[in-house]
Amino acid sequence: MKDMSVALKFIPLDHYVLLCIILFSIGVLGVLYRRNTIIIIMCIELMLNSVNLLLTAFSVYHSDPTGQIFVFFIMVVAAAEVAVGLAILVMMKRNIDSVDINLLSRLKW
Amino acid sequence: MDFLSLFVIVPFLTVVGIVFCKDFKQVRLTAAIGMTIQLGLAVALIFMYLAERKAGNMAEMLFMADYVWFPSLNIRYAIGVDGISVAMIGLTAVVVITGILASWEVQHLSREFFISLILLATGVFGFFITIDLFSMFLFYELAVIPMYLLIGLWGTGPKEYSAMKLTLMLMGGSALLLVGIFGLYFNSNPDGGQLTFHILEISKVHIDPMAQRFFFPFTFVGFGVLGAMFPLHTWSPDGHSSAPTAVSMLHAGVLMKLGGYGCFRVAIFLMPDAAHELGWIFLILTTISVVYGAFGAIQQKDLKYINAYSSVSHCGLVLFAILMMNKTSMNGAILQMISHGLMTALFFALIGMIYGRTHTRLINEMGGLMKIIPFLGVVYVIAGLASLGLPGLSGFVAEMTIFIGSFQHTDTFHRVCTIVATSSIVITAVYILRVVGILLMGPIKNKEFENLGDAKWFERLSLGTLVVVIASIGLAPLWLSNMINDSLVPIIEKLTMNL
Amino acid sequence: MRLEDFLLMRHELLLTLIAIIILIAEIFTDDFKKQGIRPLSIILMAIVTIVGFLPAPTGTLFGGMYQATDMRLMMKNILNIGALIVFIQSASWLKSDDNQNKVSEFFLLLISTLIGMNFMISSGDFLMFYLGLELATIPIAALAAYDRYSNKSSEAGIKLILISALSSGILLYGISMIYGTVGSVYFDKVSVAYGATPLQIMSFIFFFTGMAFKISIVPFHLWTADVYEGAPVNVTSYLSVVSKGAAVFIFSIMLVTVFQNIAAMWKDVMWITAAITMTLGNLFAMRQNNLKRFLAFSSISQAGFIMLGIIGGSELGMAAVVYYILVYIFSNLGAFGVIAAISNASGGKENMSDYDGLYKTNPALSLTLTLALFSLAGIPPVAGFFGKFFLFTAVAEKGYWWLLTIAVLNTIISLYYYLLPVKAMFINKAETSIAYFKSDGWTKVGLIICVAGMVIVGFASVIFEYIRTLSFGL
Repeated sequence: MKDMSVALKFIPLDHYVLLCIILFSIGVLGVLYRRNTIIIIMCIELMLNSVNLLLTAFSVYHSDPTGQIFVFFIMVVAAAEVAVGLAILVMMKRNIDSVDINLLSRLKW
Repeated sequence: MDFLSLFVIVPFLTVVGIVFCKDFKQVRLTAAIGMTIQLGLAVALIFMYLAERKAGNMAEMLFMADYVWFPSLNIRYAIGVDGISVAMIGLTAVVVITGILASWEVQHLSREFFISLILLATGVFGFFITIDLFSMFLFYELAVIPMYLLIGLWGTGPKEYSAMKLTLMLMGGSALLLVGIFGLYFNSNPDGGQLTFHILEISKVHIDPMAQRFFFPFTFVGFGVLGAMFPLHTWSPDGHSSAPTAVSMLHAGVLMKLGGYGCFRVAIFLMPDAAHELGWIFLILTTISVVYGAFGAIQQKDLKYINAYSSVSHCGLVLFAILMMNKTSMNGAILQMISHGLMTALFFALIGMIYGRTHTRLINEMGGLMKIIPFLGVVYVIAGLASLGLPGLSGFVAEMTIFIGSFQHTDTFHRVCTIVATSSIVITAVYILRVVGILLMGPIKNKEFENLGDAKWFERLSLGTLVVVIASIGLAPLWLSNMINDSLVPIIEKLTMNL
Repeated sequence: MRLEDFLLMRHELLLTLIAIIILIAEIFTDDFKKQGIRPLSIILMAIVTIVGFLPAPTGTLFGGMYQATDMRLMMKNILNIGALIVFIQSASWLKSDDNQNKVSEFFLLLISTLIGMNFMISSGDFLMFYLGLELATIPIAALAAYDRYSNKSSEAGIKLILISALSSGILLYGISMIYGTVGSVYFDKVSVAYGATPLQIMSFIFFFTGMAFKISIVPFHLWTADVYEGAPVNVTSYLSVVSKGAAVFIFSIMLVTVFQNIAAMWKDVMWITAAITMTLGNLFAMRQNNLKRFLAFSSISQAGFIMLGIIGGSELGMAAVVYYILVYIFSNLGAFGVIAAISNASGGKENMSDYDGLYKTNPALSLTLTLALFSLAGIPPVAGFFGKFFLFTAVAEKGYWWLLTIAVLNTIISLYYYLLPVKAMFINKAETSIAYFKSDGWTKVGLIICVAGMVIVGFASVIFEYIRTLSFGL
């Protein structure tokens, strides 16, 4: 385990941070540009996973386990979130027969 | 229980009583009884006040009481009166009871009408008895908000627009005022001790002139909106003309005086340095109000608009006199508030009664009313004469004092302002006499008017009370002006202290 | 961990207990007896609310992850009151044919969000905070989609879940950077080590954005109106009051504790966002006709006003914020209660024009709504006046005079649109106004609590003074 974290530290922290920024940005852009609700949910997952990666990387570099524990909780919560999200999505699909959020314009100012 | 709080409690109990009334006769009776008690209290207060002064009690405020409300912010319900507030309370009591009599036959939602009217009165009474800025602000807002429903529900003409305009402008004024109040509060103790909203305590502190310069305009404009200061007077003509009779009476008669009283008691009294420095700006504005209001009144054809514009002119004169900042003119300002309050209430009551008979307020459509409804006609003439300052009526005393006071300033600026403002007397005469001529004299223009009945008992009672008070102030003004003068002493001292 | 320590968590434990009781009751009742769950849940919730006020020890648990101070207990009590009123108000709505076989779900989901909020408020580190926050948001999305066959309701649900997931993603990104720069997620350690390095400022911006979504601060407010309009009225009222209140509480706690080192910076950020939030919320509210949307935008501008207290940041400011939320609970729930009652009785009439002439037919409801709107606008003698006054005092105390001026001018704009429903009810004439109807007992009780709250909370200065003694500040 100890070797593992030493090995991980061979890759500089910057690389992790940059990778996470890229992943996070892809996630955000996906949420903003995609119209299919399922893909939006996937993009949100991508954002959360970039956070997970970042937390793990920091955790290794701080030699502090809190970050990794945090990651587990995020995964659990994300699963719950997706469960509810997909349930509502199914309902929406039944009601309007589509998962395209462009059709969700009944409520508008 | 202290005596002054009764002025808030009695109207409140009246409101509660009205809620339990069954029909509109009980409602109006309850309202009248409650407000008569209130009038009795006001008269008692005047006598008690005079007796106390005679006994040599020279405290700045009498009948003071002080209850801590929010201790951590030092917000208190502090009450107390000096001669000025006593006079204003007397005025309010008279106008309220006559207003109730003038709306004796309001049957549409009468319960709600009288409740709102008395709530308004509660706010006004509360405003005059309190000497804590927080409670003062609370009562001020309490007095303004029933106005919206009163005008919107029982008004005439473009009532919804007028009601909204009036409410928003007055509340806008109160919003600016709030900034001023906070400015005073957070500068009320420069040594870092307990801050206070108490007016007398703040008056003992010399507030930092920089802060005064910043907050004086907020406070003065905040109250000035209610005092119909140009260019923020536009709510007044619309509001007054749309309002039902009693509301116009109370509003022009009393509520607008809140503005003058507040400017005087809060803005100038607590921030004298800024008042001396920035007073000239507002002096110009009020001079414009005086003249503009008078000219505006000439232009109008609707009786209520005429009176509303003349109110702008007269209330402008109040602010004008306050800004002159010497004892005589300030005394005149207070007298003018009282005199105008009574006179304009009389006018609006009359207009309401005439309108109730003819169903028109346009002067061109009326004529020769003196022959048909002589009582109302005569009273209209009396009101008009009081308005243009005939000696023997209250208007003369007030305007005379104001202009004498104003002429005590020898510099050109004040002279010019005074001369311009004085010219309004002439214009006033023009529009008053013009209306009297068209409305009351001449041939009867409309045949249908020939069967109109003259004033009923409650109308006579209402008008009679006002006429008697106006005449008695005009004939024996000294006790009143002495009472005011005594109370002006500490204020003038404070004003001249830092010069 | 000693047994007494459980007493510290009594709010959460009791709520969990009643959630379990409701679950058991759900299992053992027949389909046609489900109505009994309504009074059961309301009574249990009332008991929890009362028990919450009993004096109890304070302290920390789990090595600082869970903190119970007097102030936080007060906040939880305030939220309990709000939830209780929502329970009472929804009783008559749950009786309708569409809902009567999913009564316990409604209460269960609400209680679980409340548990989440309580944990969130008591959190002493970011992990607990995050878990509480998610527990408080996810069930609400399910609640927003409660109306199974309504397109609007499912649309509100999907919008809410997407927005809350997105905002938690952003929030977490901020938290991960805080963790990266400080090396701990405990609030007390973070607050000491937090500086103003670029990465930390960056992390604060992400954190702020995430929270801004939850409180619906401009420019992250766009979801609010849609969700509020689409969700069932009672869920909307819960969302706009309790949910928002909880987010404001924890946000203010975190700003003055965790981020105290960069107070000067976040105050600037808040200054601008508060001014924009108030103004834009007001401007949008002016043109709404649907009352739920109307209250949604008004709640955005209210969020701007609440931020004033946080900007003040002093003890007074925090007390003003907590007090204002209490006032806001009574006022907004009063308004929503009336709207819900009318919507139920008239078959979904929620537009302002439907309210024309309401005073003639339903005077009591009109007066309640008027009082509630006055309280929201900050007009005496109702409590909103005092609440706003204290918020303004808090900003004035720190010398933010221009912000104060913007705020007071905004109260005037808000007064304009709060008067519009009043005008509709009292002044406008209508050929067919909503007919007279008798509200049932639960609705009446709910509204009476709101009215009593609006009147008493203002005049009884003890309440504010008590909150003030618990308060904390920068």
